[in-house]
Amino acid sequence: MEIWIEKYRPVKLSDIYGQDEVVSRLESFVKEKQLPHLIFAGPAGVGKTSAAIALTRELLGENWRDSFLELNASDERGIDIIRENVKEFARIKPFNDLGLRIIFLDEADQLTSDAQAALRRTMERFSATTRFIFSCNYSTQIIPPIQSRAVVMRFHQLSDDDLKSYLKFVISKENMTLDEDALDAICEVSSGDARKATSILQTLKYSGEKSPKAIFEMSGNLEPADFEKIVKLAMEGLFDEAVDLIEKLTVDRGYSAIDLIKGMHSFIRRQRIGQKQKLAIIEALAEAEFRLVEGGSDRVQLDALMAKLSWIGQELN
Amino acid sequence: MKGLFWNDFYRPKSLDDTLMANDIRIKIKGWVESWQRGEVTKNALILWGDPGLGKTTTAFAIANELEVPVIEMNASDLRDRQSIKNIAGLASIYMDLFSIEKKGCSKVILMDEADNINDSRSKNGSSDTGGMNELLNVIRNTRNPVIITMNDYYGFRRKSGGSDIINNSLSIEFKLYNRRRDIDYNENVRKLRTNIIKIVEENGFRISQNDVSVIIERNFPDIRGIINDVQSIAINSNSSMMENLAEGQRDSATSIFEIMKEIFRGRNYEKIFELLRDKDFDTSDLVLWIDNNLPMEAEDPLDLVNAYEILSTADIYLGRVIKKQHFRYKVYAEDISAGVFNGISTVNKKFVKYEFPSMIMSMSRSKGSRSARKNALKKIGKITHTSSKGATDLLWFYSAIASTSKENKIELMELIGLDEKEMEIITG
Repeated sequence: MEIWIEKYRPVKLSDIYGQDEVVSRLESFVKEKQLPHLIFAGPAGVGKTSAAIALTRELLGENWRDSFLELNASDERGIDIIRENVKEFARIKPFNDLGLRIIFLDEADQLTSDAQAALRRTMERFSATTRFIFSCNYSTQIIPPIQSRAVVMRFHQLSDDDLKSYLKFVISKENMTLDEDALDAICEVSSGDARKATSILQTLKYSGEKSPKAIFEMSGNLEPADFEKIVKLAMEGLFDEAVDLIEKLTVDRGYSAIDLIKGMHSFIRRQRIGQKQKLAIIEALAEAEFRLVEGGSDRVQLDALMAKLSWIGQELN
Repeated sequence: MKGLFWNDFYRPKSLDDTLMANDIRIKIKGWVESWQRGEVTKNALILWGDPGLGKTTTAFAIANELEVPVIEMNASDLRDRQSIKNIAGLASIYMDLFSIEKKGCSKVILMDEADNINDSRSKNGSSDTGGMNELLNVIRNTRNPVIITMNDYYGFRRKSGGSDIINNSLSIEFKLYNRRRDIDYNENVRKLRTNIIKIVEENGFRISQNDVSVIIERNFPDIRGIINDVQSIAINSNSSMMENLAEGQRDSATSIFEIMKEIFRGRNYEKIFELLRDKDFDTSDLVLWIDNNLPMEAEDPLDLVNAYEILSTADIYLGRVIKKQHFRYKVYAEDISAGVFNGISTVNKKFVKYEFPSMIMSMSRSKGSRSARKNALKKIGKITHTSSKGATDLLWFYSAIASTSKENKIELMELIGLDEKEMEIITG
C-alpha cells in the first residue's frame, strides 16, 4: 500500500498543476542556479510543499535529501527547538555543486512574531550557505523583516479544471473508472485542496464505492458521528450527558476544543433546522472559538458552549 | 538516572522557565539584552540572596539565552590572583576565533559563591591571595559578561576591594517574590508544584499533590531544599513525616467547600472576597471547582447560560495572564469568577455535595491516549510532509482505509509505523 498523496506528489516543478506563474519563476531560479529566501503563501493542498521539494531536487541534484531540512512550526514547539535543529543541520557540509542547504519551514505563520524575530537572527547567521523557504497561508502573517529578506510566491487555490486534470491523471494511473458526476462531487467537497481530493479518491478505490452520493456521504463522515451526538444531546437539554461525551472525546481520544467546535460547525451547517436556531448555534460556536483563541481553557469554554446550546435547543424553535 | 541528585537535573534552560519574581526577571533580561545589542553599561551582574533560590541556575539560563558556554569558578576552586587570571581573566578578554565578527559575547564567566573568596586576611590555610583584586580587574577589562553570585552581600562589601567590585556591577537581590502570597509567590509555587510532580514521575516514583504542596509550603522559597525533601520522601516513602502535616491538608479542603457555599448560596460579594483572601489554592483551581459544581447549582437553562457567561469571561482573563504576561489579569479572573452567582436567578435550595473537579484526575488518566494520538499524528505527518494539524484534517481517511479490510489495516499500520494503541486511537 502507498499513500496516494505521496505516490502522486509532483516530482518536477513542471508536474505541479495550476500554479504556472509560480512554477515558471521557480524554474528560472533553477536555471540561474541562484536562490533567494522564499515565502510560499497560499491555502492548503495547492502544492507548496511539493514545490519546495521539487525545487530542491532540481536545484541540488541527486543528493538533495542531505541538504534539505523540513521543519513544522506547529509541531516543533518552541523557537529553541527550531534553532537547535537549524544549527545542527547547518553543521553538515552540503554535498552539491552550489554548496547550498535549504530549510523548509512549514506553517511558519504558527510562530509568534517574537519567535519569528528570533529566527531572523538564526537566518542571518547561516545565510551564506543556507536558504529558508517559509510556507504559510497568508504572507502578512510573516513579520516584515523576514518578508523584506525573502521573495513572496503566491500559490492560488486550484480551479476545478486544474484539480480535475490532476485527478484524471491519478485515475488513469490507477486504472479506475469514474463518472464526470463523481469528479464534480470530489471537486465540490474538497474545494481546491488536492490533498483532500486525492485522499477521497484513494478511499473510493479501496472501498469500491464510486457514486456521487457516496462521495458526499464520505465528506459528511469526515467528522466522526460523535460531533453530531454532542450537538444533539446538548440541544435536547441533556447538559450532563453532553459534557460527559465531551470529556470522553477530549480526555480519552485527545481531541482539542477547537477540533470539536470545528466538527460541530460542519455538522450543523448541513443540518436542516430552523434558520434562527442555525444562526444562533453558529454564533455560539464562533464565540466559543474566539474565546478559546483569546486564552480561555478548553474545559470551561466547552461547558459554557454546552449550556448555551441546551438553552438554544429549548428556547429557539 | 537513579542515584543522582534530582536537583542536578532540575535546571530550567530559559529565563522564563526559571523561577523568580517578575520584576527581577525584567531587570536581568535588560542586562542580557544589553549584551545582545552590544550596548553594555555594567560588565558584571551580582546576584545575591539566600541559598537555594536558583542564582546559579539563573546564571546558566542567562548563558543559554546568550547561546554561549559558561566558564565557572566556585568555592571548590582555588581563587587566588593567578588562577583567576589564568581562567577567568583569559576567558574574559579573548573572544572565540570563530565568533569575532559576531556581536555580543562568546562565553559567560561565572564566579559562584564569591563571598567565599578567602582573600589575604583569611585565617585558615586555603587562601585566595589577591583574588578580590584580580576579580575587579576581570570585571573592568572583560569583553564577556561576568556573573557573580553570593549569599552574604554585606560581608562581601566589607572585604577589601568588595565595594569597588559592587560599584562596577549591577547588583540584584535575587528573590522569588516580594511579599508572601503575592502574584509572583502564587505563580512560582504553582510552577514549582507542576515541575516537581513531573520530576517525581520521570524518576518513576509517585507522590500525592497534597504532599508536594505541604513540602513546598514548609520550605518555600528554598527550591533546592524542597527538591531534596521531595526526593527523600518519594524514594523512602517515609510517610511519618507527612502524617505530622496532615492537619494542614484537611484545613485547605474545608476552605474550598466553604468558598463554594458562599459563592453559590451566600451570594455576598464582600464576604467571598474576604474568604478568598486566605485561600490556599490557585485561581485556576477556583475556576475548575466552580465549573465542576455550577451545573448542580444552576438548574434553569438560562441561569446556566448566564452563569457560564461570567465564568467563561474569568477563564479568558486567566488564560491572558500567561498569554500577555500581565499578572494583574489574575486578580480580575478571581473576582469575576467569584461573581458567578449573579448569573443565577433561581437559587438552588436542595442539598448539594460539592465535588472535586474530575478534570484533575482525568487529565492524568488521559495522558496515555493523548500521547498515543500525538505520536500517531506525528508519524503520519512525517511520511506525508504535514504537521500534526494537517494530519488531523485527514484522519478520517486513515480511519476509512483501515475499515475497508483487516489486511489494509495491518498494511497501513506497517506503512506508517503505528502500534496497536495508536491505530486504535485513529480508528476511534
